[in-house]
Amino acid sequence: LGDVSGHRLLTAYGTLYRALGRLEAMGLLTSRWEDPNIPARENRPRRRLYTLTAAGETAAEERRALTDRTTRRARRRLAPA
Amino acid sequence: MSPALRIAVGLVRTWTRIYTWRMPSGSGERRRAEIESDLWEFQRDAHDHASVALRIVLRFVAGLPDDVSWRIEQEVAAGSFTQESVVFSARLAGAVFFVGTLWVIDVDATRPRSALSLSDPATVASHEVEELFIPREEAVSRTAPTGLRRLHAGIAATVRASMLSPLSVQSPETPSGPSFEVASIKLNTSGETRARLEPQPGGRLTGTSVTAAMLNRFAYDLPSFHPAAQSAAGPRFEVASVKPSNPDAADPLGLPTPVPPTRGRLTILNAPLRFLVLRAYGPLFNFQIIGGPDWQMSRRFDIQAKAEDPAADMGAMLPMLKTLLEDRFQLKVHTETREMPIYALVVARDDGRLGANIRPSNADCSNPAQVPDTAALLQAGRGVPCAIMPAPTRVAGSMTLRANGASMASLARFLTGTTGRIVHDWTGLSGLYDWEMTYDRGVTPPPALQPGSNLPLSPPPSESPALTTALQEQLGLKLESTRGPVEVLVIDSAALPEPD
Repeated sequence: LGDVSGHRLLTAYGTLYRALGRLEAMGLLTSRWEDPNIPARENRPRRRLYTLTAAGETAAEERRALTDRTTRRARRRLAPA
Repeated sequence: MSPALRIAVGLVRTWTRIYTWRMPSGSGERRRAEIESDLWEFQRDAHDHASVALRIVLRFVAGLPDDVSWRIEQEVAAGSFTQESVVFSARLAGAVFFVGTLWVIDVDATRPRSALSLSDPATVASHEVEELFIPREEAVSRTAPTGLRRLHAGIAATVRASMLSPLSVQSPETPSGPSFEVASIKLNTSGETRARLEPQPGGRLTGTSVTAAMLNRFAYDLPSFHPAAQSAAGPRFEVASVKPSNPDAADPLGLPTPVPPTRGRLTILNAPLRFLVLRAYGPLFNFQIIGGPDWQMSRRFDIQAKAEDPAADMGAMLPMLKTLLEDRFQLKVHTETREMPIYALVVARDDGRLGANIRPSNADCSNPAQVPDTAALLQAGRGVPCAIMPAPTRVAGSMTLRANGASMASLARFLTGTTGRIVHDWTGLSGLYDWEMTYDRGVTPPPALQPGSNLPLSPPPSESPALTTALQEQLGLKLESTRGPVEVLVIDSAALPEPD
């Protein structure tokens, strides 16, 4: 989050963590708490680390492909005969 | 920590404790710990505490419905769902939302604004400007609004922000930049309808019947304000900004930052030129782009643009992106057809029999506009109709794909993206098929094929067969390597854009 703090808005707290939970339940993400020694050493709260699974990577890729296909179909329909 | 930031953090912590109250220790404690970490990260590099506090409260308020829904889901899962708990949650969320909204308006009213925005609240919301008068020798002190007047200013400024051109909302704030010493903005009651905005001798700028949008274009020296500077060819954005990306904000995988599409606006963050060309001139695969400068993958850019038509969709804005690349990157390209290695997708057996994992489909894909709820279907363990989607796999490093009503042409397109060569459907099979295939995903990690990705191209192999082997053993199809004509886009030249 610190890396993107320059952005004007981030996803709402409730929306973000609910979505992460759902993605994890669907098997698209896995998560774990970081090594407790690290936050203790850096005097900060512990972080939950999320990792994209293989299924998650492909789902994201397929979603992008689906969007492209939908765009192409719409463009073909709008194109003059 | 400023009082505003302390209050915002306290608000989020308190609300989190409320909606996780009496939850099973695991999930409630996890949510509280995640929020605590999130708050800490958000405050870590905070310089403008009022702005950070405002963002925290906005994230808090916007997430309230999801917080309540999440708690209800947890209760339903635990079997302790009651009507009373729903009513209580809804009332509580409504009360917090109301109080939070008032507080946000109050914080927003105290935020420092540019000279034009600090005008009297009665004229801030006006879209008509009669005169701007700027004597440089005179200094004018402004009195900070208080009480109800401050609340009034906050509401007016919020409404104004939603009415102005998006550029003014997205433009970086420049509190330390030059500003007018005196600025007078009045409602135009003269009946004059001809707009005029002209610099005058002595450091003055006057305008009559000027709209806020015209002021924005003038202030940011946009091409649309100077029609002579526009090229005649191609549609273009009304306003556009191209900036080098912040290297600290880079995605750890090196991919462009995903941004939800918005009609009328195009936002692409952290993208190399190669990605921009793919997006603008697509649909193309990465291997179909030839040539280009050596920095096309290493230098990344943020593009924020607004189309004149607020309802413009991505299809309408892509030609504008082309024009933008030609203007700002001096991009010159041409298409040509080259003979390159390709694959032919064919039936493997001479007798035409297919594999055990494929059969003709009964799916109805006659309505392409009907988009299924993919997430719900996947969550229910069901296949997505008319699509090729991943299915859960328990073998590490493997990928299982499932198709419910996919044509051979769809499979060929998928294979084109994963093999890095054009794949033609030469199976001669018409109709739709249901199939499932498990293969070693190390051969084809899709994100690694994205331009700019830092992912290794060859992850550790699994025990599953390679894609080509799985294709033959499980579906009875195979890829035959051959050569054929491929349409490619050649980048003739490009230059680094001048900073905005």
